Amino acid sequence: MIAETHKRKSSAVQFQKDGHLNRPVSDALIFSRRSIGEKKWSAIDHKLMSFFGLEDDWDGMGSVAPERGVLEFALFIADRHRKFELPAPDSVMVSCNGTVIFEFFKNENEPLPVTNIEVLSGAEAEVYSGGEVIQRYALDSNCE
Amino acid sequence: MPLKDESEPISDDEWLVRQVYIDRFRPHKVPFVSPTAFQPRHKGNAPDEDGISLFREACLEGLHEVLELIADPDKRKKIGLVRVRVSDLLAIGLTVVSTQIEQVRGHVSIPELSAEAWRDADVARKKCRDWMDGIAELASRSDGVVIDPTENESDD
Repeated sequence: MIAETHKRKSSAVQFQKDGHLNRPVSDALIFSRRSIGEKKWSAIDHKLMSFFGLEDDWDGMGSVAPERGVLEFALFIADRHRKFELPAPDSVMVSCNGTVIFEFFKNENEPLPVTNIEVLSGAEAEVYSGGEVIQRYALDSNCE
Repeated sequence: MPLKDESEPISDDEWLVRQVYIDRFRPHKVPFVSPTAFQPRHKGNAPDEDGISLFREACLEGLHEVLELIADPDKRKKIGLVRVRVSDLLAIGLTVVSTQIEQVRGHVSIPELSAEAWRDADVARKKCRDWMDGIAELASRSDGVVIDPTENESDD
């Protein structure tokens, strides 16, 4: 309960710093934002689960199906992000090489680069924006 | 306009067409076409050793020729087509080479976006990702999207 209260206060302060509001954010608004986030996460989870059924050449263009370990690590990363109330990705997809990519789009005024998390194997993933790798995740050490 | 023979040099004003899977089209997002649509394939039966594949529109009788490369009609419904101008690719530092195949005329490749480049995780892959962003921006222009499969199907 204490942790939950702390989270709510942090969220309100952050929102004020963004300059969108000059008064404390109401619980109703926070709930609304969380609710939207939950819907996005549900859609992402649903899509991730659907990838377990893919076979090689799933797109008719010879693309490789993701290995089970890649999907499990993708689910793990999604779960971690969700637990820490990080923004849900705008989409998730399987690449032609069988990796899983979470995409985070910016707004229309500043469209590129797209920030992605690409799950490369059952134990490694990287966060990149354009060509720049921002962070690497590894299953054992958590983060490089 | 008469069809170009694929042995003719590729001119800067030509359009190049690429197959793109449905979930790479992103309604209400910018860019409309995801950069991942241009990721080189380095695994599977047909890695992009020469570079990612495109087709010279000037060599095609119709765009259906490119779509018909997808044998399975159900899978074909989920494939769209985008196009980019050769001059725009050159402007962002890419090149185009003719890599003829039996099935369809006008097959070309972008050698900078090759399987070998993608395997080089430390250097070349970063550059690939920058270029993928660049092509996605070109393909997302209003004259870049030729067939948008999301218009007929709400996959996601």
